[in-house]
Amino acid sequence: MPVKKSARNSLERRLRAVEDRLEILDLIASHPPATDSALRSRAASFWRDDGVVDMGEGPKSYKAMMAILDSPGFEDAQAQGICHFSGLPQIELDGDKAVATSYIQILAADPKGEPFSLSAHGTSKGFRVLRLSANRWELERTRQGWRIKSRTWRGMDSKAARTLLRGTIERRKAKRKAA
Amino acid sequence: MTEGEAADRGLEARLRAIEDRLEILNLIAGHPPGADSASGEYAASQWIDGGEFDRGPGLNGAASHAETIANLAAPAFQAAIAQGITHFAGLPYIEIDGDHAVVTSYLQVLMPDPHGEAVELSAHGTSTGFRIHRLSANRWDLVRAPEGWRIARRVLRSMDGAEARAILRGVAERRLAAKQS
Repeated sequence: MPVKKSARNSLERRLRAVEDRLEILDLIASHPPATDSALRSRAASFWRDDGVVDMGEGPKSYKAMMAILDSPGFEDAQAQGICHFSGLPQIELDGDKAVATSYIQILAADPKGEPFSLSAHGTSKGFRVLRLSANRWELERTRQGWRIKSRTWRGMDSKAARTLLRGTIERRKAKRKAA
Repeated sequence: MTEGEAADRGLEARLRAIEDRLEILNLIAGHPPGADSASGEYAASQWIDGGEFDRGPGLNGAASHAETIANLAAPAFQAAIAQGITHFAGLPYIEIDGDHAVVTSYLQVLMPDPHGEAVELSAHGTSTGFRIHRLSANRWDLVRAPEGWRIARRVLRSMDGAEARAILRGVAERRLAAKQS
């Protein structure tokens, strides 16, 4: 039985919101494989052309961060087993804009680790968490899909990380007040 | 077909794509609880019969899905559980193509640190910590079976080897191929 037009409009809106949310999950999930394999063109495809990153020293073009992927240092990092490990992002949708808040670990093999064994899994020197950060991704819907407008990165051992995390609550409060 | 029916069909296809994605997220999320509780039954229900398991020459463990299920019941795996083995999954990246899907994900295998020095975290007590025993890139090839999405093949490689990068690069290469075709 065909759905009535008014019901279809509401379904369309809800479906669109679900699709947006999944597309954003996808965007956040695809960032680590592109970075860890140093695929600059793929990593760049997530960004708006004027996208900025702020690693704590003020905003700069995302292209500056991309250059790291081409550096000989990054090749060494790959040989050390560099891995960006992403937690489940919290996503706030607001029309054609969105904010995702996520935790990211940067891991690498531990060259100095004392070997330890796990039954049925052999012996390992282990991997270490070298960086642990809170991230705020400001996203925008473009014709090609959701793209990153800015990414703010703060180490979890800083006060600034807590401010970043509190933002999820503050935006929610502000939204409730406005409604 | 009326315009309304055509729109409904479009909605149906989009809803199906969403349901597929959420079911696959759930399948991947279900792997750690199944493994860490050594549930052979759970592990069996996630795979097609004859599923392939490729962990390469570098890592100990099962070489096929059937072997994995047998291993879960073995005393050695029970000993790993006693040691506190924990599979910790990262956010998976999912590519769906009709009745097939490829999932790329990172996985940590953690355990309590047997050599750890005690560290205190205020209001959380003292801990000798956990260590990451394994860190791997995983490629899961899935198929839509009559009962739902199932694993046909899983390839995993340690992140400190070149083959892990090949798994990760696969994401971009498939995307590029899809764009060109």
